[in-house]
Amino acid sequence: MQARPALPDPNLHPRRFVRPNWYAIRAIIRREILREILFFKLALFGPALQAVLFAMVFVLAAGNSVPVVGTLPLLQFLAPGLILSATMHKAFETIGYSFVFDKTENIIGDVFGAPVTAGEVLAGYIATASLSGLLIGLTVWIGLLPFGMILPVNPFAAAYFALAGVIIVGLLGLLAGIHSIGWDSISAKDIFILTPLSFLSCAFFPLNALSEPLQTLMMYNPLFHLIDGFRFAVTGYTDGQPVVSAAIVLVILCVLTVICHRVLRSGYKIKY
Amino acid sequence: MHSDNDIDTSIGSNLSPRRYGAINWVGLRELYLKEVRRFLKVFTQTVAAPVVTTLLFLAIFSLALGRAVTQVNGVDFPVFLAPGLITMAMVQNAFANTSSSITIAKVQGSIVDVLMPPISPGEMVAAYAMGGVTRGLLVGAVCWAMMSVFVPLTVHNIGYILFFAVMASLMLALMGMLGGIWADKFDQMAAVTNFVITPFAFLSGTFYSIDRLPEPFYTLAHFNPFFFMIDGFRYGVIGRSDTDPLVGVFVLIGVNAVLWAIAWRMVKTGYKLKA
Repeated sequence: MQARPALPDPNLHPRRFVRPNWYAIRAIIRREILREILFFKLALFGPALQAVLFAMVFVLAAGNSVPVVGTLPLLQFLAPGLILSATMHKAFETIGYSFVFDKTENIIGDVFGAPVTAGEVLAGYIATASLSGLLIGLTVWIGLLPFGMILPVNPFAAAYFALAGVIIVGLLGLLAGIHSIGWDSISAKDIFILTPLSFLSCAFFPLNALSEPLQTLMMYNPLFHLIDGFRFAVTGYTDGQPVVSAAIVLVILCVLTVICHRVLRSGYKIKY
Repeated sequence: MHSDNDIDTSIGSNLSPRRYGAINWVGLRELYLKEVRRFLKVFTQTVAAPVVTTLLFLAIFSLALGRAVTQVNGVDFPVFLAPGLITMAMVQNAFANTSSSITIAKVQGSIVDVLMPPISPGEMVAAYAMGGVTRGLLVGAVCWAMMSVFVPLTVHNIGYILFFAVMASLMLALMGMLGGIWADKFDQMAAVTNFVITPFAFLSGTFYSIDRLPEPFYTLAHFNPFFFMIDGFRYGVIGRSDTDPLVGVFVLIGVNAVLWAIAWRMVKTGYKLKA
């Protein structure tokens, strides 16, 4: 038996807060993370299993002729790519599919009707994407430990690229979620844009496996810079220039943040 | 259409139930068409998406292993890989079609639309399974067409190709029915896909010859029906296989007969379908 709650103050007045509205940001994060856990349950370990399957298949297909990429055994080369691509994909899914769900169920007003600014909504969703992406990344990392995955050579750089990765792709997920009207259109963006960008980003093969025009083209794939930078931080092997990659990544992150803030503030495809 | 018109003109005078013989062909056809229209309506998700994913798999595996692995079973690695990937795409989509159709219908309650009409369990299993097979074959055909741009695909034995394509899709379509009937929610269905179907599809010789497997697994592979369907389909394409494809023919017939019987029994008893 619980004590009966006290009657509300008869002089009701709006709750006062100073910006930023931390309460709202916390609520958004809590809602999104709980939704992930309640909806996916066991399937949350899907990405880890998928990465382990990829690793096993690569080992078995390579057989005795275990290839060496640069200075690394194949699996040590692959593992950072597998981890970061799973991490980023989860960040995209978390935000993108959540927006589409809220829109199709007509409950998007629960977020945008509350006394929150666009900046606070953005902060809440970025934090959600980072949290869920990085946690999934951690499960993939643990799953790949038996396959020779190592701890990062440079933990700070690894954290930088991982965080930048989840935020950038999470923001892409936010834009995709806002733009999509239904499940069909968000999953089309996922499969036809994000998946090719991430599969063809040197996550699974070295840059020199490509012939010339494609090598230059790869430099325009933002995910290449994220994955190559992350791989450099973890293993010390790089196909590009990690410092340049770090700068490019930072610029993309800032530009995307500004775009997302403007889109959220304008209420594009949300408020009408 | 004629019978509809007949009823319209004579309405009120001699209404009687529509009669049909041992098999309700109209019901069977309509349920099958419903299954096909269901996936064609969202064909970017159900046909184009798996084709793109399969092509990406071909690209990354050829690029990552192209130098280290030049030949498998006497053919170039991409040529070896392509039939395996096509089979994998076919069966995963056959499974996805029946399982998602039944799970969604159960969650939304529209399953009564299928349970109420005068359709026998056999007709229901046949219609759903054929819907899954249709999607599997369509995905397989489009994958084949797209892949042949990059990889020289040959036809060694068209009979084996068609047999294994149909039987492999049928096997997974029936498994999808069992999974869809068993699962109460989407997360259970996702768990079956993630933890049962995907590992079997990945580890049954799509990407490598099973000679590569260390001993207990090499023998175990011969008890894995997924291995026979991939191996058999590949035999039809490149003319080489790890086992005699004729064994695969019998294995798949046997497995499909058993799965069909289980699915039929589930529908007949209304397990998890009727309250």
